[in-house]
Amino acid sequence: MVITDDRLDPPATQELLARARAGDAHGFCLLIEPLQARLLRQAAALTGDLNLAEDIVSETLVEAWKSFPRYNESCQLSTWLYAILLHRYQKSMRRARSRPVALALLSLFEARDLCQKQENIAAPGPSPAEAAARREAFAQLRQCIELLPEKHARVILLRFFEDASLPDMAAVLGCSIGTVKSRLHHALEKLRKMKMNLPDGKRDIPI
Amino acid sequence: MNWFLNSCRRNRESLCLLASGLLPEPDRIRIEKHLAGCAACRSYYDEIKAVTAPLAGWEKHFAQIEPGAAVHTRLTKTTRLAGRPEPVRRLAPGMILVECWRQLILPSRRIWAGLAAVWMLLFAANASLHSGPQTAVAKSAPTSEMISSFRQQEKILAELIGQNELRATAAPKPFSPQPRSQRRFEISAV
Repeated sequence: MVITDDRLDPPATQELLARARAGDAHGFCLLIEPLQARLLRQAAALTGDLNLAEDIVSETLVEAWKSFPRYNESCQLSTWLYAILLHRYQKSMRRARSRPVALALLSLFEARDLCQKQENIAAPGPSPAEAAARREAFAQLRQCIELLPEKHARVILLRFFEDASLPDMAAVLGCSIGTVKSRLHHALEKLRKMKMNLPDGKRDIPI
Repeated sequence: MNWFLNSCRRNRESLCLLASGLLPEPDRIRIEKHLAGCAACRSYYDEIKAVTAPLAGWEKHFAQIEPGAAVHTRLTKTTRLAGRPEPVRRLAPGMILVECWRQLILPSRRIWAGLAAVWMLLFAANASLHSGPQTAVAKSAPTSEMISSFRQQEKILAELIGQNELRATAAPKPFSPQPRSQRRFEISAV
């Protein structure tokens, strides 16, 4: 299920945008309320840790509020928020890498724990084994994305985790649409090669 | 050159866009026609699709995550406590240069690598210009022709100096010092 600001009521959104621009914190909170759940899921998918995800979402919303006058509607509000979320996440990862205990690794282990916890939740659709295989595939891809250069990882995350369009990605990343296409191609090519180098048993990711 | 000649390789970017759901309609039809007839591209597309499909369905794994009332309140409270938003700064012309330096040049590895390469080139050119002639003189031994021409020049110089000496002797400077007694006389006369 994709929740973007398309789902917001346009007249109400315009009014809330105007209120938020005028410095009304309540208006800003109302504006981002429908996007909070997805933002939290996106942060959880990035970090693999719900507590860390909440912290990052909180930091993201504060930063978004502080820099809201700079939002010029060149892209969707959800994409703009996700770009800030990515920035905060990458900053926290850099901080974690400089520490003696790698929080990056910790978050990956916790992501696996989260996946195992999710296995216990009965969900309609695929069998538990199939669902577990999909989650494993997703966890593997998340690890591969961590290994990509930052500019390639950003394009992948914006496209698949935020469902951003080419113009939105170009606006958020501050580059041309051609550059976004090229980065997406290189990122997917690298992920494909990484997947090909996985052991045979882990290569067949169910679609 | 191979990339230019091989149309399948040129289609790879479009295949990646197709797998990501970003290819516009006319290009999509063209690529799908190509895919129907090209086994190599189909195989590549399947491999890319195997990467994009799990990513596209990421939200299913996190569908049960919903912010509770406590989380929602905490997020709202934190935002409200953050104070007023910062107004958009209008930069002075001088500050634009500083910002450009801080945001574009300072973090860019390529620019620093380019500057380092330019500096190395200048250094190498400078070093070659200065050390070249000295090393050439030091290494080359004087030939017999050089020695003979040098001696001829020496002779010409000696002749020129001799002529000057003759001129000097031909017109000596008149010098007639007066005796002390006469000087005294001059002083007393004054």
